[in-house]
Amino acid sequence: MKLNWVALAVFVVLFVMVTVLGFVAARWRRGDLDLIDEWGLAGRRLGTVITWFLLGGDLYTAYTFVAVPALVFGAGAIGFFALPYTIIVYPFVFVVFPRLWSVAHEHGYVTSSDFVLGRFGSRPLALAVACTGIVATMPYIALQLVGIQVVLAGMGIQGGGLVGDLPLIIAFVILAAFTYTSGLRAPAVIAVVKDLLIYATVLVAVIVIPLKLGGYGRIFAAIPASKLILAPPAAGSTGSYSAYATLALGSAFALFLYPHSITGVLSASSRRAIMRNSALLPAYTFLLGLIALLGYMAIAAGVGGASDFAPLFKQYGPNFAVPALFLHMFPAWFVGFGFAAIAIGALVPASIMSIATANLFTRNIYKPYIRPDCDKVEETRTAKLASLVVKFGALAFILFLPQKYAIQLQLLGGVWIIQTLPAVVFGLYTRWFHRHALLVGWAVGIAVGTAMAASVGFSSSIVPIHFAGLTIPCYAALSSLIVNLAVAAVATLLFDAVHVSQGRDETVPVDYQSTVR
Amino acid sequence: MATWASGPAAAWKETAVPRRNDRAGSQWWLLLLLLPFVGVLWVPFFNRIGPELWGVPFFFWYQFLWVIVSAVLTAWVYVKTAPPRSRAGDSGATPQAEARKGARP
Repeated sequence: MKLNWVALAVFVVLFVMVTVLGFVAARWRRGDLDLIDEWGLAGRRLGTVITWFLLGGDLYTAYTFVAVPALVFGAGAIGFFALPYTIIVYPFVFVVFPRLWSVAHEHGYVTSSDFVLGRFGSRPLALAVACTGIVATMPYIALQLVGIQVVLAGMGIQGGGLVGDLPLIIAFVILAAFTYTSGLRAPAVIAVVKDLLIYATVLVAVIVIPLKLGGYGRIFAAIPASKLILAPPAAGSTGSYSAYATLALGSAFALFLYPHSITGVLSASSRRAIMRNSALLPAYTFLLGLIALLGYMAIAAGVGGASDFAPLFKQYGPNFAVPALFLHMFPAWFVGFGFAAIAIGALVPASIMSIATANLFTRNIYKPYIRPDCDKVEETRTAKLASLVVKFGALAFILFLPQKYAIQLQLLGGVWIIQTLPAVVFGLYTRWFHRHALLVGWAVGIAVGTAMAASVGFSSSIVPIHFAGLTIPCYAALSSLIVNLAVAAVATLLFDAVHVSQGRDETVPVDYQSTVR
Repeated sequence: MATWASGPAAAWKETAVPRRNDRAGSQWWLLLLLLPFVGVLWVPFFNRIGPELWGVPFFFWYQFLWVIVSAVLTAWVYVKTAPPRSRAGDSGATPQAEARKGARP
């Protein structure tokens, strides 16, 4: 494909603009960036509105915006599981996560692992939570790069060697630099711009494209029946119905256990900000649903059969559906606008994810195990450096390994991170579970979940369970979580029966309700 | 040994501090938040094409509708259960939390 100069020019201008914003962000609501609360949580001062932008930019990543319509384009209605997933996550967040905010605020916790250590007094359990968070997030950061890669290819920048990869490397160096200097303030400020760009792009797309294609009725009429709704299950199986529902439920439970979600929650200025956002963030869910529809629009527009897109579809698969649709439908300047929205949309979550994993590494691995006597300034400096290491690790991952590894690891990441739910979420309510039992449950859950994914060759996270003559295709994260909980419950009874110490709990019940700044 | 005494129900009782306008039983509003789970996870109910709305199959507009319904429900529950805002600003401190602060050295 030829270089699309107009699109590229618009793209570069917008990209430079947010880069400047990223560096200027250090001055916004100025704080001492040598403290990890300031660098890694923006001083815990983000109000309802900024938290809305930050969490929206953080949870609805560029990869989501590329991959969800790609799934709808390639596989059909199953891709819409993203809608129930991001509907039910908010009632869950509304009830559970204000408690995490409060207890973290009372005790100065920066990560979920900090909380687990304080609550259960178990260093191994806290280490397990920290490592799970880091390992699950790394491939997620790598996938954000895929979003940038796909839109760059759409503008004619691709191909082998260092020259082809250079724009991606430049984008990442910029990202690393402003994250290093400004900390969480950078993505918080950029998220505002990014979200406005995304909303503008999507609103134009869902109005203009149907006009060109003859309306929504025409679009849906062009979709083959096999892709329009879920296939009814065969006898003796719950088929795509249970796959759809468990994917939604499991993903919803997993989402806010990711370090970058928790960073977003803890940077809020009050528990009210989190509760309000549970009612306000569904605006992004609506947007995501519209974006998912772009997958159908791409089918109706027939971009899959267009010869000039064929090499790019060959290279990027269905992930190229949305860029192809934009190139097919819009003038070059708007293509540049929309592509910039996606690429900038990759910067925000990548930045927050690297900050969150850096916080985990510093607070829960470096400090307790490597330098117990490190002071606050060294702590923050280490976190900043760790954020660089994490990002360049992700970059190397994308440049030197096939993309499918990142995708498979991200699928596994969901299965792994959900295993921290008993310690983190149940831990917010009860210490009934024994700390050692939680660790055993976690280990068994990780092993079982990974084995399930391996049994289908890591190609999918839906693994059928056979139960009483019924075949139930189920999201491996959810089924392995149930195993985890069952093991943890039984092990709790055993540990309690032989009176193994429960460990010290430094929290008290009112901590979980505290609203004090 | 810790018990379920600090479970979800108890947790919400903690917030049920005496208020000027009696809102006893307000934690029952939380049950409303179960509705979205039922609404969007019972797939056989909405996995159908008709009735269509402006050419959009039921499967899609039904789930889009739940985005709005769920957000409204959450907002409603927030209004009904959030502790009243204190005069000190956004903090809305509960008496227990204040007491705890005071008790600290």
